[in-house]
Amino acid sequence: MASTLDNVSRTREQPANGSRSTGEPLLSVEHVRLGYWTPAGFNLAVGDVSFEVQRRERIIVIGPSGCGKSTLLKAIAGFISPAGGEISVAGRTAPPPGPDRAVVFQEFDQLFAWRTVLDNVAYPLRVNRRRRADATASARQFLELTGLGHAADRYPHQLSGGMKQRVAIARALALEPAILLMDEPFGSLDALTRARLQGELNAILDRTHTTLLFVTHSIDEALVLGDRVVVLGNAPSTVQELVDVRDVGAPDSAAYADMRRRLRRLLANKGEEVDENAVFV
Amino acid sequence: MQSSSSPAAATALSEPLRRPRVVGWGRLPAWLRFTLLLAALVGLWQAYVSLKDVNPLLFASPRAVAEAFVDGWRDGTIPRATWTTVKVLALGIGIGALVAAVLTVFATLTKIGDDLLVLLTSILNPLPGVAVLPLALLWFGLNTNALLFVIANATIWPIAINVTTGFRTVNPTIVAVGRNIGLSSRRLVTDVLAPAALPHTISGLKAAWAFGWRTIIAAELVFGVSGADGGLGFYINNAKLYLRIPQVFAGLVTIAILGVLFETVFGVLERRTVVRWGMKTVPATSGGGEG
Amino acid sequence: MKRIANGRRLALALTTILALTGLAATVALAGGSPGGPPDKLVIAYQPGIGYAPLIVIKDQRWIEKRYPGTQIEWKVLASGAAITDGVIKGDIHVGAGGVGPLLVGWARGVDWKYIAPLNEGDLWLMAKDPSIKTIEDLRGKRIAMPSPTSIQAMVLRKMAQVKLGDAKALDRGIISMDHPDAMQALLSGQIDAHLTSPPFQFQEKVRGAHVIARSYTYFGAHSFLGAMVTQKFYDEHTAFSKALYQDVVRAIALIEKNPDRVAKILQADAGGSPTNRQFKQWITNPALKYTTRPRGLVRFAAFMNRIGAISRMPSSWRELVFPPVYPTKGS
Repeated sequence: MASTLDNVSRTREQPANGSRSTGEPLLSVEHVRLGYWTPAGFNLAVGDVSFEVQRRERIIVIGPSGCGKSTLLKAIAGFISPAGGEISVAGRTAPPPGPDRAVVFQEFDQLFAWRTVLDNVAYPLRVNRRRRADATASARQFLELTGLGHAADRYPHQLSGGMKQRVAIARALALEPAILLMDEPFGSLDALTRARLQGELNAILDRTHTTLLFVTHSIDEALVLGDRVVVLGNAPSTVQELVDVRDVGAPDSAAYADMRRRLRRLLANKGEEVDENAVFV
Repeated sequence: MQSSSSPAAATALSEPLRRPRVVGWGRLPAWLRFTLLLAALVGLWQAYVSLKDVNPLLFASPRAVAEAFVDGWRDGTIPRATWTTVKVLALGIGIGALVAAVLTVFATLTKIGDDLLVLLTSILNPLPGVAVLPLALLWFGLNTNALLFVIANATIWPIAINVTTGFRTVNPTIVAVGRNIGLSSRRLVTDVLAPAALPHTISGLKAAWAFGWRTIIAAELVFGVSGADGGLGFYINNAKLYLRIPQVFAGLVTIAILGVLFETVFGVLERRTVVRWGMKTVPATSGGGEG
Repeated sequence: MKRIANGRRLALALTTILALTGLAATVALAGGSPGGPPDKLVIAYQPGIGYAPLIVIKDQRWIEKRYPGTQIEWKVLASGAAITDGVIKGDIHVGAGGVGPLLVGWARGVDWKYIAPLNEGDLWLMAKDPSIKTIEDLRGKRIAMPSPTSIQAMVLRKMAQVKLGDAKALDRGIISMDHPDAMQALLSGQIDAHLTSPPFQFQEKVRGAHVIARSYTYFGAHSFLGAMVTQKFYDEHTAFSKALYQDVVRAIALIEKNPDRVAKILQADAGGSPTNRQFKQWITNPALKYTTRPRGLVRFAAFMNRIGAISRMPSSWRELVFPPVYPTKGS
């Protein structure tokens, strides 16, 4: 398992093809406007964004900093409500925060410091009415999946940043969410760990078939992880383009290089300089 | 790069890592160092008393103090006084913590409660606990209630400040995680906010204990409750009135021991919780053998 | 390097300890020149008309006139304990106080005696609540007095022993308060009873309190206050001490002969109030009799020894006074 997970490249098969076209979308974002109040007044970050996510699909939201991509994710998670438009998940409009949209944040401090690694994963299951033994067994299983079986009894402060993010991923996956929301979860990791975790995430999602919405500002991350990429422009942002990146192949392929150039152009066109470091991760 | 091993490099590598040279004292374990120091201090004290021929009405020898201490514990006067003091202190801190909890909830939930707490804290916290005693005596009369009032007042503010700060500085991400996994508001408080604020809560309790402890001893010294109702402060004062100087010292020794004991309890509590969870770094006092 | 630093620190600590020791020794030795009158003299007493003879001596400047080279300081301290502390430390040379502290200190090894008893005093146990009529009514009640070692505290224990069968029966209720505070507390109902002394008992009676018991009933007529010096002071300044005794005798004679004049002196000393007449009434009240004859000292000592307040007994009243007092035929 470790060897496949270590693979940085895009190795997964394509299971989402068939189910994508059928039925209503799992997530639909329709003309959503998002902003926040400042002393100066209301500041619109997301101007008008619409897209749909099908079951089993992996959607990447990418855009320049300040374009409101994280705000959009928080709105989908139910933490903030849109100033306009509508978000619906599995037919429910504007649902409150809940484990059906489990979130993995960028910060390492998203774990409960006072619970062991195992309990960090098992506790949310117990909160959601799973019996103790059942929750513990399930938590162990997902820790094994993320390669953390050996660290189950440690406390979060004894883990490295990468391990903490794996625990957060295991916790979110164990909740068996309808859609997994990830807000730049690898943004604070070093390049090597980051690449490894991207590979592992791909392998895990291949097994669990979880639907994914992933926010990043890294083009490579989008290409490695995504089926489709939602490219947002500058604030107040709109969707610049919806790009299908399913068939770009490995990072050393010509198709990958073409797509990478195309996305860079899309982002650079909007006048915002692209963070070179981020792009070349 | 090149594996051309110069002789210097070879010896440097083969040589065992040199430990920093420590002098004899620093190599001893911590408990032994402190025991030896304490023994030396007591020895100096005894030497001073025996060589200097000091007035026994002003200063007691360690030997006399030890005798008074043992006698006091044997005849029950010190345990009784200690129990009285600790009982009143615990009750006072309990009341203080309860009021602090109400204030904290109010301050966390509403802006006006927050402002009220800030105002009350800045007015009342700087007051030395004993300063309120005359007023407490007027309001409650010369009884334990006055003491309880003074202790409660001395402990409310450090607890309230710390717990409020703790709640306010909880990482918003962890709260978001709590909501995300489907916690109700009540469980968000008990399962996420409360443990996340625990380091501050413990600091608050420690501060409250320190304030309360100083306050009750001082208050008992001022406050003339006599006989069986007297605490340690009264014990000391009474011993002084009867010019039983070794008993005065024995009372002080009891206070010091209790102080160390409570510190230890808090230390254990912290090691089992916030230190274990990495929410507070280990205090670097009783570290091993560094010189 | 480290070793040197440690060594230096140790040396510093030792030096500090030695310096402090030396300082303490110096302070202990500083007193006065041996023989003759002292260079500096501190006389301390407490508020109350019981100290009238000392107030007269102060007002008439008898000591100052006799020893112009001596620097004399008169101090009024709120508690007997403060005076005891001062005498032990050597800050106070002549301290005036009740029989209680005299005996407690004497038994614990304070080398002091009365150089001049000042008076006999009947100490009254006062209450304001009309339902408190007897000592039996005082169980569980709060009773104020200057301290647990004061003469008042010993009187209370005697009362408890006689009336309730246990000397410590009322100990729980003892509250240490100086007389002026206790008077306010009694009149405002904060405490239930006050074992006090003249003039406070007179004032309380006028303002609505009543007498539950009197100390003379339990100990017979007894000494109340006196002026104390240490044996060391007496040995070094014997002539001065004898003269001080004579001053007290002279002051008491003045009080008897000319109470009007003494009342004026007391009023001026008290800052103008209460009235002259009031002071005269107080100093002529039979509950307070100015005399240098000690009475009941041994009886008090025996009682205090029996209840464990003191651990040794004087063989005679003479052991508690200096030779100038011997001719008074005390007890």
